[in-house]
Amino acid sequence: MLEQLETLILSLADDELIMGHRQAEWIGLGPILEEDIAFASIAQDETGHAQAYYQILTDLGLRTPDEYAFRRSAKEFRCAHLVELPNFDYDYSLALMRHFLYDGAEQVRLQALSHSAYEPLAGLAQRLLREEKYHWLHATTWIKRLGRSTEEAHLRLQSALNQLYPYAWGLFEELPEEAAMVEAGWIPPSAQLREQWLALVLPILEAAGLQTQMPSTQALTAVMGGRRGWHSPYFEALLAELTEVSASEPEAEW
Amino acid sequence: MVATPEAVREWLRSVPDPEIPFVSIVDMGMIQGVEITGSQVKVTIVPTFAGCPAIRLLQEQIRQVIEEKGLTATVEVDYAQPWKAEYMTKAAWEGLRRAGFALPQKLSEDPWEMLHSARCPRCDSDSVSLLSPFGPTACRAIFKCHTCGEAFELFKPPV
Repeated sequence: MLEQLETLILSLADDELIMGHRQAEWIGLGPILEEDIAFASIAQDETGHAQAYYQILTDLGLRTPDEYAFRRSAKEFRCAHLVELPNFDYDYSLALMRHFLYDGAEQVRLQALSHSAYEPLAGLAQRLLREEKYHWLHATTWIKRLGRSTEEAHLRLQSALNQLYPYAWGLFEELPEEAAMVEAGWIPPSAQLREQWLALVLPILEAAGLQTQMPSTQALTAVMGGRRGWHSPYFEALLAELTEVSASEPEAEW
Repeated sequence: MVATPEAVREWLRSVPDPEIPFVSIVDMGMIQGVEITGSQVKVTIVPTFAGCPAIRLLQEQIRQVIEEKGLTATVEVDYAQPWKAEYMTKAAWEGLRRAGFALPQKLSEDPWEMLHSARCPRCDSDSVSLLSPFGPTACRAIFKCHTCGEAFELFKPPV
């Protein structure tokens, strides 16, 4: 069961670590100072949350948080493609939409995990939910306001949503050997979480005047695989950057 | 030297909260457990926010304080329980107020309600705007007061 537990926790932790890394890339580039600070703060939270998840595995005698973050090959990561996508041309609406879709998923995931039969995970989820409320507040406020503001804002958000929506479904890709995890009471089935996520995010998008279409099987196939270690074409470069300093002196004490 | 958990807590009053150095970690309610076995002290801390970058610094400072008393120490971080503003002592709230922070008038599970209860710490006006729920550290939000024109920070606990 240890192997399944590691898969589950890495799927959560790796999403957080990589999302935090992408959000941290906004530092110094936010459209206004307050947003720069917001993204920096959210990125710091997500990275810290990744560390707390990894620590559960460390406490079980597996690797340390630093080893998980800095000394794994790409195929050992379990993050979804959504978090791997680059910030492309730094269009803030794309960053906000990813933030919204991702943090909506986190709300649903953490609420479910706070009832997990695996107690260390349940306890951590209860803690993180209290911190994540501010992320969700931030994301929903912007989506609601910008969705109903100028035509340009609306068009940009809609275009970001079109691009990211199938990727967000990829957050709910079934985990390898998920049936055993569900049986153990660790998590509900991914498909059930996805339905809860849709029930949370779709009304907000609709209120913002934004439209979604159910992704085609073809579109979904293209964005799945993260939970099995198959990543987007952007991931290798991201990982090389993320681990550059630690790889330069692997035995250094920090 | 024989120590008691109460004595250890007293020693740890010399360790300030790394981001709010006017308040000790004891008054912040971050010391969740002190266990003593012979000359070995095990301290369990709960960080305010899990992503607090000062956790390792804190562990180190706690260890130093205990080792200066001739004991050995381990400091564990417990992420599996939330830190709550309710753990803070009166001295902690008072320290924050003296340092110029606005304090939430109401501790609520609804972040909007909590943020909207802010008043200006300088002129006590309630005519204030939230500029960002995020500030220079995870536990601060930024506001502007319309009455005196000053910007200020609200102490923002996890809710």
